[in-house]
Amino acid sequence: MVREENRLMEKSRSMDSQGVPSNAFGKSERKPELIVTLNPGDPIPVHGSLAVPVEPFAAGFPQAFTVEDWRKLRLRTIEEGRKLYALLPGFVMEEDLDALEQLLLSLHDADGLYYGDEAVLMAARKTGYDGLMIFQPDTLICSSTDVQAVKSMGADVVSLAHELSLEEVLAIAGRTDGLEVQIHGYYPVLSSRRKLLTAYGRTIGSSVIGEGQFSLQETTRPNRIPVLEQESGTVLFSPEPVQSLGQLPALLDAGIDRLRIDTRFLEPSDRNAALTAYQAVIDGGVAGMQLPGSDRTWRQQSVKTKEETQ
Amino acid sequence: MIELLAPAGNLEKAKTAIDYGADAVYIGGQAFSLRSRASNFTLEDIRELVRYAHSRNAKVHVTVNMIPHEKDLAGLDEWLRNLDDAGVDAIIAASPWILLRAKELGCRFERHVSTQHSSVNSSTVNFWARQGMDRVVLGRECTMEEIRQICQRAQTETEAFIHGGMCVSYSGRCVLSNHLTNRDANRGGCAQSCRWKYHVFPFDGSDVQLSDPNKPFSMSSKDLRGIRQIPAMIEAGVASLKIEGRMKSAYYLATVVSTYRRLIDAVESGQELTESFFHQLEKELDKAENRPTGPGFLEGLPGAEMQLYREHAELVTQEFTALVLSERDENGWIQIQIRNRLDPAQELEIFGPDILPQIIRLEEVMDEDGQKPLILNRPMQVVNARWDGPVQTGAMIRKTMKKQAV
Repeated sequence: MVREENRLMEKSRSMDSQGVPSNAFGKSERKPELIVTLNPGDPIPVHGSLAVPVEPFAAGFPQAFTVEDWRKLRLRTIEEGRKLYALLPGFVMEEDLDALEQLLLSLHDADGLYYGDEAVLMAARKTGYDGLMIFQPDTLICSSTDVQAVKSMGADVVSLAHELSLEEVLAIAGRTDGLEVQIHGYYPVLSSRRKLLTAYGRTIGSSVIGEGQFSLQETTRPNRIPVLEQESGTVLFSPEPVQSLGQLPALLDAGIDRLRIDTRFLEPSDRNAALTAYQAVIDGGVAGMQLPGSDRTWRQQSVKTKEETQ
Repeated sequence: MIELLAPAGNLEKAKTAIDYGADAVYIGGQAFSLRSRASNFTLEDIRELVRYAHSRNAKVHVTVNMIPHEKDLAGLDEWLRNLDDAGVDAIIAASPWILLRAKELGCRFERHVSTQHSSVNSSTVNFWARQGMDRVVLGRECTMEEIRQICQRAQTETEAFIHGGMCVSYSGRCVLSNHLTNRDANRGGCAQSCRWKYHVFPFDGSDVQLSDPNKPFSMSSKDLRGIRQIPAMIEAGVASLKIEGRMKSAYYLATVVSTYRRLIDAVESGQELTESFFHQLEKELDKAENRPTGPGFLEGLPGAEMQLYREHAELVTQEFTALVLSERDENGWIQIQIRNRLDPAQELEIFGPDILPQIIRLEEVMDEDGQKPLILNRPMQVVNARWDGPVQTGAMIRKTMKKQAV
């Protein structure tokens, strides 16, 4: 029932006479939903909706929940009256389409499905899934018009690209609704089907470099870039986690519907600190602490050409 | 009839690609296109190209493939209407809004979903088919077997890359350039940061360098060469075979397009495809490559053999020496335009839209002052030459030099 209410709420957003969604309702008194991703084995946080990666479509997450893990967590979240979403961010290769449909039958009770490949949306329709469909392709959605287009194609919620500046996000929020923004944590910046570390390890004769978590450092730059290689390929992450305490009031004022904390590579204690700080601001208080991470991307507009950087 | 689709960075290259056998060319306009360093086409160029292409039964696809930000959208409607008025045959777009908007505006051109969407399964292809899209460009991560299965189930046309540069990432899902240079990869600013050198460290933050300091980690991939898979692609029902490289030279395009043209024509005419024929075609492609190539994902997931870690992996390829500007006159003279240093005494090779590669020797060369130069080293200089062998306006002359790694 919770997910049906949630879906209806997202669906009931108004449209103006030109057919452009208005977020007049989005600026209501309703607080945004705070979603936190949960890594298998980590203690469950005291508040926030939960989003968990589920095997075998959890590319880019170091560990993922099995269907059996999901069932147990689903029972617990129902008891606690909390929402539980499934994260299915990976690309679905042709030979995995049947497995995807089977998985969705097992996730029928999810409050929503995060997806980055439209095959998930197609499978959801085919299997009669009726929860929220949350399009989260990391890099692709950078304008209100694309948000509207993706929603007209079946998404209920659209997660914006992480590289957008605060100014850009606010402009988008002024023109459409059904938005989600990642406010904390690391996020993917490159996803490959290739096993790049294994290939390199073999080339130099290293038995250490291969599947697993490592850091990359470009030879002339100081930052370390987290990198994860799995059977499904290789994912590079942002050099530093985003943190958004300074931007949160503006995001709240703009009526962003959903705010997400990604806990990949974060210790549970760091995760809890972030959750507490953001929740305090959402509740009208103050964070009361500094958080690790950077708000650089919020302040910076990317450019299109080399010439613009000179 | 399968389509051979070639890239072009300017009008001359587009015409060359068509002359050498491309069924269609894809180009970038001056708005809403990736490849900011490609010399993108003006609207007048596009109109001229459409006239040129249509008069030769070829098509023109225009990339409108940037992922737009809020500020980038001004002028989109006008641009789409202008492309429609110009008579282009298709746009290739990544933004769902742009794809839908073209339909709303009543544009008559086809709408092709860009590889920036990394469509890698039939379900996703059919998702786009339901949205009314005319074609989906498949992700370069598909194996040949996956392409075959996708085509069996697809409800709209598919297009597959067969040759050229490979993104190491799923297209559209890489913003490494944004984070290392602030240049937006999805708006034409890609700095190819994946090809830079990186040290590898443990994840725990320690300073123990795991990589080889003399051969650092890099994500640079060999370029794609799918010539061996063309018969399978044709049999699978792929609608269009796409060559990558809007930044490439007219010489590169002429060589690559004519080579694939020969193969496609051979397959479609039922000619026997012998090992020696493939070897001949591969030798021809070698003459245009400046990077090592491989089958990409077409023969299965690529391993270490498809990656590049060397300091300089480029190969010497400056072989294109002159462009043929005229037919042979009554005195046997042929006008040629010098493109790179040419020693008239050197053995040369000519190839053209209707000329298979063939060795020639210049018998005589005369410049505009009536002199007979020993060396021609002024690019774009027009001289007269005589040789015994085939001639065709638009043909290219190259040195038969050996390729060397540098």
